[in-house]
Amino acid sequence: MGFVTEEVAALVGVAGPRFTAVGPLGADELRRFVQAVMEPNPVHWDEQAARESRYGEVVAPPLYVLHSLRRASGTPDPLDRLREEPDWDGLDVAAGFGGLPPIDIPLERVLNGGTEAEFFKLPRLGDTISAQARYVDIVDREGRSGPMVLATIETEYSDQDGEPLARVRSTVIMR
Amino acid sequence: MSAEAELRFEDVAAGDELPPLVRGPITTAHVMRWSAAIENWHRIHYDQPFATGHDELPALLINGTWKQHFLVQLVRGWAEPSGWLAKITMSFRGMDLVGDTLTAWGRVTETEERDGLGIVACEIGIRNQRGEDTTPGTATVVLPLRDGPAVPYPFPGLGR
Repeated sequence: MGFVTEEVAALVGVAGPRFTAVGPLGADELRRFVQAVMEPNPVHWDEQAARESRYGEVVAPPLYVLHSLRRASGTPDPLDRLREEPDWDGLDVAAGFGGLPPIDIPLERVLNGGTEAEFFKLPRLGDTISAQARYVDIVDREGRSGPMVLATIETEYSDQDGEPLARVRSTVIMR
Repeated sequence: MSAEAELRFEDVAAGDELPPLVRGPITTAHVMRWSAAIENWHRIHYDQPFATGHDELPALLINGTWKQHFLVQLVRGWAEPSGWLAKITMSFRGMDLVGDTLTAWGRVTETEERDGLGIVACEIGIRNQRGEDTTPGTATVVLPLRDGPAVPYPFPGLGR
């Protein structure tokens, strides 16, 4: 007995659309990011340090790719939802699913269970990052607070030349 | 940094501890700066009445997304410039609250030479000042041998 019916299990292997960042990675966006994350490595802002490193030029930290897909200007404002639904928690649950078809089960809570990331190359200033997600696992589990479903989503990030940057697996807990 | 000071596989043994990284206290301002930088509007990170009232949390939460990068910084601070963080895993087991001071820690668990490179496995985690290990994980670092070639970049992956 569980939530993972044949129909739900059939989602394993299904890929979502390929998303591409609204533009190339800019110096000011990287500066702001590096300061907020309190990054200590100067290859992320100092051209000299970057030139002397394996990177050769200023690059973003490895997991920057997770934040590379931003909302394009002129698209609907997600915060408009607060007008109708003032108790909305501000979390865009769908974004965590990378455009994949939803898992249609009667579990309401969605939690981030963990991350597994492999790194191949760091994004450079001027790179335009793309991402494509797919389901790699959907299983029933018995949690302390009752039944839950663990969905593992693998996202491949690449640059404009198709060079792989990172592969990130995130586990979404639905309960 | 001189080449002699760079980490080589022969310098590393199981049980070695990574130099810890400490950040904090992480205030509401830090968390707000992070949420804004990544355009994440989840209110449990900056809207205190919502977090403690509506979501019944003990306080505003430090973002899991921020903690992921903190662990990456721990490992790269130890391994680079010679080494490459090839893989990192972490799970979110507990809450870190605004006001907490966080320590990222790591320890080498296994070393193996493979195809002329050193593969080093570590356990890692984030511990808050209450002693709670909220974010346990693992890291796989690739190091050059003392007389071996540099770790290739771009890195082709660890394979299976």
